[in-house]
Amino acid sequence: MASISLSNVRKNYPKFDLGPIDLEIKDNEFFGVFGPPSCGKTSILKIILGLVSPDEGNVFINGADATDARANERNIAMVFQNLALFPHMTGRDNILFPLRERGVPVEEAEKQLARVSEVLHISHIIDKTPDKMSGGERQRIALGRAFVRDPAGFLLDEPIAALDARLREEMRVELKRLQREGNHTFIYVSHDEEEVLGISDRVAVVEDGCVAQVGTPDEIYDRPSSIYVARIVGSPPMNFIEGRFSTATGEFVSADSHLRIEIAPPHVVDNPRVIDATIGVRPENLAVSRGNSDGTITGTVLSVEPLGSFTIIDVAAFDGAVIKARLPGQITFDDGAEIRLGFPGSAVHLFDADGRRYPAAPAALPEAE
Amino acid sequence: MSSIQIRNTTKQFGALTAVDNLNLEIENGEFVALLGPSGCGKTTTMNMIAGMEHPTSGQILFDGEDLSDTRIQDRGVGFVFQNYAIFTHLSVHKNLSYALEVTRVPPSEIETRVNAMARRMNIEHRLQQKASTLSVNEMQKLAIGRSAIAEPRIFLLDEPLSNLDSVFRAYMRSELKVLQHEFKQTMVYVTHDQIEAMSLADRIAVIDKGVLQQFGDPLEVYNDPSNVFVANFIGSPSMNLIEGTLAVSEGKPELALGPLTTIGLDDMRFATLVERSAGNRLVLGVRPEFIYTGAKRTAGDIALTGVIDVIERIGPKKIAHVQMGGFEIRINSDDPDLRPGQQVEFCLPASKCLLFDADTGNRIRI
Repeated sequence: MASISLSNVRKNYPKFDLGPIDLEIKDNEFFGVFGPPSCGKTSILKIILGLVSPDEGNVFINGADATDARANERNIAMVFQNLALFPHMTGRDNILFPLRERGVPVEEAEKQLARVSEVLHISHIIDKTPDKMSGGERQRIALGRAFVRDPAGFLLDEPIAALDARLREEMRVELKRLQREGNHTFIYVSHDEEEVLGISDRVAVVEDGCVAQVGTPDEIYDRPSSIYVARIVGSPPMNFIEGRFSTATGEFVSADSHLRIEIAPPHVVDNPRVIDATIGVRPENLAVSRGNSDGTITGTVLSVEPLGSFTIIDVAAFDGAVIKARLPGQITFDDGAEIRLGFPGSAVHLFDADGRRYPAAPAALPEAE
Repeated sequence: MSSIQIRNTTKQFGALTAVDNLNLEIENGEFVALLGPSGCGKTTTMNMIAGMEHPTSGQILFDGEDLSDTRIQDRGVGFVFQNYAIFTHLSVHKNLSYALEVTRVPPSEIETRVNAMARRMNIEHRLQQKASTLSVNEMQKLAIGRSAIAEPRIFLLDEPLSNLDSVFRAYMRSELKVLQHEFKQTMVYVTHDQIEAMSLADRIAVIDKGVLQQFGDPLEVYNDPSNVFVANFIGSPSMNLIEGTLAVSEGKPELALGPLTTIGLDDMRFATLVERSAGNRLVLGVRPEFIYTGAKRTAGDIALTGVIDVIERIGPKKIAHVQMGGFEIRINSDDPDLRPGQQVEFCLPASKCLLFDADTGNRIRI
């Protein structure tokens, strides 16, 4: 159990600058850190763990400044992507290793082992060596080795990335259960959006060494703070269309004027104006209809991806733009079929010329330049 | 542009049977995915089609013609691998032109085809640069372009998208599909990713342990799996597979999951199960999106109660993991009121339930 916070943390690497980063991870929280490869996720973990000291800023563990504390004084356990199990040792010896290193009495160590085995359901595999275990079993042993120290917090760096898809789906729910049952603080790093957003209480989205947004999975999915966040969360990705937005009328007009949508009720602002803007709409929020019924734009179906519980269609719309729509269930279209796409104003995300969500908050309309 | 016939093909490596009596007929211009977990024999199958491995027994024909004695480079096979296989020290232009130069295409035609392909792949501004300066995403486009430019009879792709980030992967999926439509090439696509296979392929060959499990179009393998392996492998979140023992009570079949939990199979669909011996181990399969919360909508549906353990948010979907007498049932629900820890009543629609023999894994058609 631990709260962990980073305050104004910076670290300069030869090719990459991290920070400034401010994060507050609450006690017993399942906190996800999400971003594309080499965006700085793992560097953040290393600073929390104490393997790397920041150039500036502070790390607090349970409110106490731990910036200068060494890794072994922080009582934070790390589970790596490659698990780092000793191949010549049984599961039992792997789990007991950190206790033996610390000179914990045998009787106490055995007690800890029994506790961890019960929690992780591994009693039947702990006498095997890692090469005799399945991927999921090795994963559990690696967790066992972290759990046995009874640490204040756990850092998990892509802990299930190496498993096959089905096992990953099972393991991530299992991790969530373990975290909740044990009231642990988990910091979970992954580049897999489905994984992090699926099980985290809150998520930090990392962009180029900085935190782009922190929020619950719902907030990040439903109210992304920037085009960057909107683009990397959601599969298939959000559709974006560039154009101009009038703060006076609440209307967006695409750059080529093919698309006009009433996005928001007119804002009462002192100096109404028209700004360069981009709208984003998630594939599942588009209203798709056949033939001549209502819709904002027409398009032709380029391809259909039947995925069982839902169907993705690529639609060629105005000026060669390809728009992806996601429909529930199994729906068939002829290639080249003409359809209409509706853009419900309430589901449209609006971003300004800098790619920031607009308006950032209802009360915070920026003044004109 | 060829059809491919794989007939009674087996490949053994010592004592290991990598591919076991495989039969596949791939039509001209068809996009076929070989789908299965790692080690299932899909890559070995592809290597045999390419001619890099020879079958221990059986035949592989192109347009009905046996090419066992034809050199690999003369078979007209194009390749795209996971790791690109690009000449990084050469220019983008040279990478594209190489295959044409080797086959002695006239220089003026090479120029036309290289430019057309570069435009097609959106890398024409990079033509004079070294391939090593390309981004990962551009490299994979180049890899596809340099294979496609030779207009091979068949195109083999081995997990070509697995190194790409998810946004670009979605884009490349569409792109590959367009390419295939354009070139009308026969494509064989090896992947362990069922979503990729479903979204790209005309037909999917699901392979496990060297044995073909099912060969059908994407919705066929999704809706009508021939066995438990296919049912479990296709679809995300995966199908609920509930194993139990068949019993008959008052003339109606039941599935006993454990000493305390029994599922009544009241719908007429299940009536023929009473002819099977009691004590048979069965697996009841139902996909998460078909399960609904609340009261029964149809008399024969199976009403159950459980406690929500974890709720996952996956894009627009919410998946509730419900615990029920030691079993977990996944429900894909749009009910916004579901919360962890809550008791929930839900129903499995009888019309959407599939049955399998637990011992053989085979589908029981009812």
